[in-house]
Amino acid sequence: MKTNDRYEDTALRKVVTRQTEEKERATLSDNFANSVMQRIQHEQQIADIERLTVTGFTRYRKVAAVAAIALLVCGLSYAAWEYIIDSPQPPIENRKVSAEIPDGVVNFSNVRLDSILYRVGRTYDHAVRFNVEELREWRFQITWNPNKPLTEFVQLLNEFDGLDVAERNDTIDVSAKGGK
Amino acid sequence: MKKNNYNRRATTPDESKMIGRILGGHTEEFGVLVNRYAESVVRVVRRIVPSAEDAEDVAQDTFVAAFQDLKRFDSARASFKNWLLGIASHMALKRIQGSAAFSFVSIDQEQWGDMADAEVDEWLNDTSTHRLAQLDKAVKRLAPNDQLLLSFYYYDDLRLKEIAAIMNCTDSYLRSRLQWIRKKLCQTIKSLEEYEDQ
Repeated sequence: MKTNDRYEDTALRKVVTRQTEEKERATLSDNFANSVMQRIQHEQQIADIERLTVTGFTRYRKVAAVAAIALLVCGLSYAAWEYIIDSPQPPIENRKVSAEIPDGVVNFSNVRLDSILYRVGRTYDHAVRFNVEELREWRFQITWNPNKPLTEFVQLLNEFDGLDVAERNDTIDVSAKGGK
Repeated sequence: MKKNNYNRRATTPDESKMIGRILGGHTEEFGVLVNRYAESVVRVVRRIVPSAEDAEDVAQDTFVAAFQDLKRFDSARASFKNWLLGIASHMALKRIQGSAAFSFVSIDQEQWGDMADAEVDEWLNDTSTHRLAQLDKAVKRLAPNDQLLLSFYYYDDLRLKEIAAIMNCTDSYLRSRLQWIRKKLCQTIKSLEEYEDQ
């Protein structure tokens, strides 16, 4: 039986209504919207870092490619020269491409400390705890090699004045040097 | 209980402007949309995900996914709310099924084709206590996506075109699906009656 091209189905409608109302009994936590917005901000920071990282990589790769081509051209020129002149030449040293960037190395450029540490913590499966909230906003220019142990990166961070970073029980603990 | 107040119009002008501003970098304005639709989203998710905690988790995932995909939102295809509910339904089904959402099984017309439409109408309009109890069991035996379709159709009174926009399929498919579900419910009731007679 249809009314206005819709099934009436009085009994089925009753059952569906009752079941839906039972299922829908839920209240949202008070800070739901805040939690969503915090997650969005966090995701954005990670996306920003990844974008910066990709840009950094591209730049380094371009430099490496140009250096490699330059070396190749120099090498070929030298070989041609040696062939034509046919005279012994001293061996050329340092022919290696200097800009060897291992895969996965991240160059943080003017990035907030909390963003850096969340990104790093995710890789090593560590939580991040700031004992001094202001430290979150400090910005750093630093390189991180995820292929190396976390302790190395922590040591590097501790070289900065006023910063005390420690790795304890799967947590990266951040304090002010000399503070709490 | 308050029903979802579905907006049958396209996205409101203020929402379109707001979405434009969010895409332009005013991300904090997304919080207004979260506040506006959080309840609707979590209620739809609860229809599929029984645990309140999981449902809230899925609702959060829905908004984060919506934010990340905001530039793909097309106000000509669906209202912002229905687009959001589509994401919520997919994520909720994915949470309970652990796989791609809306995997409707094929409609076996032959199996249910022998039931006359008049008979189906009669059964689904019979509000006797006994029949309602049987129908309650039969509906619970349906796949979650079929139950969701019924809730959109009978509880929210959405048009098939609107449900199609949420469930990302065509309204003609949903029309066939609905017919199939109605017949399947009657078939399940028949089986239950046979079982009770034994």
